[in-house]
Amino acid sequence: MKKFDTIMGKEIGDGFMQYFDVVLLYIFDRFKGERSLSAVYHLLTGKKSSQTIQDGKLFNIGQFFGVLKKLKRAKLDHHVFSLQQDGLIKPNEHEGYIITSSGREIVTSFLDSNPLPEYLAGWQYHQISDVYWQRLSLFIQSLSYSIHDNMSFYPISKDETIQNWVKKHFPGTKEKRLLVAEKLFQEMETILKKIPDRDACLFVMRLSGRERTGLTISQLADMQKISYEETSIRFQSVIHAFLKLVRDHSSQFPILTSMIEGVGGELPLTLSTKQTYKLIESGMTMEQIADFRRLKRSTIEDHVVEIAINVPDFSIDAFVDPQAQEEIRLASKEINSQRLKLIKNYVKDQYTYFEIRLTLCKEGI
Amino acid sequence: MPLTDLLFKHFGYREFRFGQEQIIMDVLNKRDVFAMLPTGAGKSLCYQLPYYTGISPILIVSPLVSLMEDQVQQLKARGEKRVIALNGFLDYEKRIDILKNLSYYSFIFVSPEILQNKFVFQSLKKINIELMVVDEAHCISQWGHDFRTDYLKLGEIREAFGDPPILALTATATEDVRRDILHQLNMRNPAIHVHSVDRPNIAIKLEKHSSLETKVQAVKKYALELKGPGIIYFSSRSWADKLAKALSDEGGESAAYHAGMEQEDRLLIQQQFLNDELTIICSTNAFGMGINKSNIRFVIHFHPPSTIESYLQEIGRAGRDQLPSIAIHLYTEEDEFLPLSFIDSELPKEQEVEEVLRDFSGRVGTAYSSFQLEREGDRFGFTETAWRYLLHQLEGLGIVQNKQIQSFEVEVSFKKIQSATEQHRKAKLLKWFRFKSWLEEKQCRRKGLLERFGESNHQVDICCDYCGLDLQRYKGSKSQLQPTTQHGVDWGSELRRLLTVSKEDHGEKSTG
Repeated sequence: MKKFDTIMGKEIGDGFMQYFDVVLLYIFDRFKGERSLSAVYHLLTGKKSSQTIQDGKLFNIGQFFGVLKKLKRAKLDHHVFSLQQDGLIKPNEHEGYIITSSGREIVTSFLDSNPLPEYLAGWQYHQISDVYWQRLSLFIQSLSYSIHDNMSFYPISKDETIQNWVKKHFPGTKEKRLLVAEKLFQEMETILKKIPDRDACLFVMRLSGRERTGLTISQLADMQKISYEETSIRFQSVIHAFLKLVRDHSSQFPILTSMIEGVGGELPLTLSTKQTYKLIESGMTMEQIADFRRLKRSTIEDHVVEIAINVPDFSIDAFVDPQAQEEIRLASKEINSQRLKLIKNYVKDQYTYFEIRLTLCKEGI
Repeated sequence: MPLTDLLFKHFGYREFRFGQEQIIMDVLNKRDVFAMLPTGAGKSLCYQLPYYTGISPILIVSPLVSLMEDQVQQLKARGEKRVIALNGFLDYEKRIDILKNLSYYSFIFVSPEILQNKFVFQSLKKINIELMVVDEAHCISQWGHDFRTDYLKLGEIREAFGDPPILALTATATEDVRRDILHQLNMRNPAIHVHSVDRPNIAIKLEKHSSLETKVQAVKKYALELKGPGIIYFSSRSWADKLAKALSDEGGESAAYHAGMEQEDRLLIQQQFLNDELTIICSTNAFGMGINKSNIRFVIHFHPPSTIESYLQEIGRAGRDQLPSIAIHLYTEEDEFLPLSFIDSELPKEQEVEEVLRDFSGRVGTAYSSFQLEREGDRFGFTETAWRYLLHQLEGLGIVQNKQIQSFEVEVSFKKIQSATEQHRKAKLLKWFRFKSWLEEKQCRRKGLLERFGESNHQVDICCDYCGLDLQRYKGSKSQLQPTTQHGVDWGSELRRLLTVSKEDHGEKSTG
């Protein structure tokens, strides 16, 4: 059978530098070859493991956490292969890649004219951005139909908790609805004016309301003639901008603030980690917890790292002597690396991997 | 209140469609009912209307989560609040909450697997179910010979629920499948309503091509010339994606729809289509289950379905408004190979089976809830059907017992599962050959289809390409396509349009 591509012509966007490639180069640059390709994949798809969370923190690329949730591993491999062919990255011995000087040149010149979205903050908002968008878009859809005296429409969110939230907060009378709609319009306009026009356009066109259903990411991509990945990342950066600005100036945006209500209040910990956290707070040592929960010590160590990353006022002093923390930090700085093994060598095996890991991820919080 | 009054009050129809009233009468007389109505004849009304005569709660067993959700959505859109779907996609706390308050609900949708959950079962037992509906009942048999354990239990379950009457609904079931359904559901002295699977307002055209190139040309030509809206079915996501793009480039308002897309995007495409903002959907067979759009004018198969039953279901999405519609099937000799991969997609692959076995063998003793087990396939990237198939195999071999992983021999189990899967694949191939033989017959297409369901031919005015067909009748002019409103928009004014009532709107209302 003939391959489809030979009949239909090549896929658009092949053959020249895509936004996605630049993002990959950017991440490779930050990783400095110290993480494997799987780490890149987990970061972009938003895998909630201690390792991925740590990576985001350590290498300062948390903004990309989970921005391409549906990314196929094969697609990533394909792009990495091309980047390598073009001499923009080089594989190293840790199954990672190092950016070449021509690779870095490309990133720099690309970002000069086309900077990464200012508000992109995948890790920071990964727990609330989806709920926030769903509430906001269903609220707007309902409002849009109702102020035009039409209440029969298919809700844009099937999630019942979202539907119930909107029902509970929906203004009861037509007068109130008109008022809320006008105010919401002003609040949104204020925020959308602070970001690039084309990003604001993506956001507004994805909204559904009377006489127009929202566009899919692919349709938005076609509209602006950019790639799916770029569209997805830009769109999410707008949600992040809403969350950032609304939180920083909540009195200015009462309606948009109300939509954050009740989400993200909980600590972003996995269930098992939460249990460990409780036991730590009750005064148990790691050994006792491992014993009590019948888990491996290494699992408990992962939990402690996860807690350290996610709970800002969690002190690691009980796990790593402050003096040791100081030395580990210094070592990391001197050899300019976050690689545990190198640091461990440098400090002559005085400290365990766990102590080094924990110290590094607490860095800069 | 007479039934017709209820029909008008709650559904807005003045008259019953053919067969509905008799079925509902039998349901109201508390008989077991088997009903086969063609796609688009209003099957769901047969269990929804009885609710308004006071029959409640109604338990609906539905084979696919997607189907369940569509029906829940439709009921809700009609303003019915007491509707709930219990499946593995509910999170734990929500589920507990729902089960505690189960008596609140009038329409309870469940998957057969979830009925095996003790807590679900016990909660349902307490609420006095007055009617048990088995929707898409043909699925009971479509799984093949070794794949029925959860369905077989439906008879027992009904007894435990205090013997409510059963209503088994299907659109397409051959004679032997029908017998199977009656038997498996333990139906007693059932009232049987079998209506023709024929949809007289849908013309049928088969078109053979000598190469893939000419087939691609043909699908583009038809898609752009025929009056929409329409659905084109493909066997793979990438074909659906690429053709949708090709059609858009040539001015058609088209989009792809398949399970590889984000849930939100799928919903948007569905709604654009329902709202006539989109003319053509290029889809895998993921699209259409439970889609309630009455004015679909054409269904094109670019790739063949794997059974004659799915073919009928898919073309049956056209012309629910009873207006003339057309179904075109495009095929080449090479199509022969496609159903193989199509069939494979519904079965677990060798390496997937191995992966699961290895994973499970390392986690002996792990206990699941029914809900978790239903979703466990996600971890390995299984399709819903493939996972369900493997799970039954695992349960059959005792690897999963009472939802707990038992210790087992990886190699031995792997071989057993592989040989069972091979059998299953063969059974599916036979079904495909039944469809394929239809393509090659030299006789009226409708006659051939109906024969396969044990029906004699119907005389319809505009029948098929064999009997003679004027395509002109189904063409639309290009200007019919709605001009796109989405290019070069100014976001500010678009946002304003959504959220404010302009004077123009008021003007429209007073004149309209």
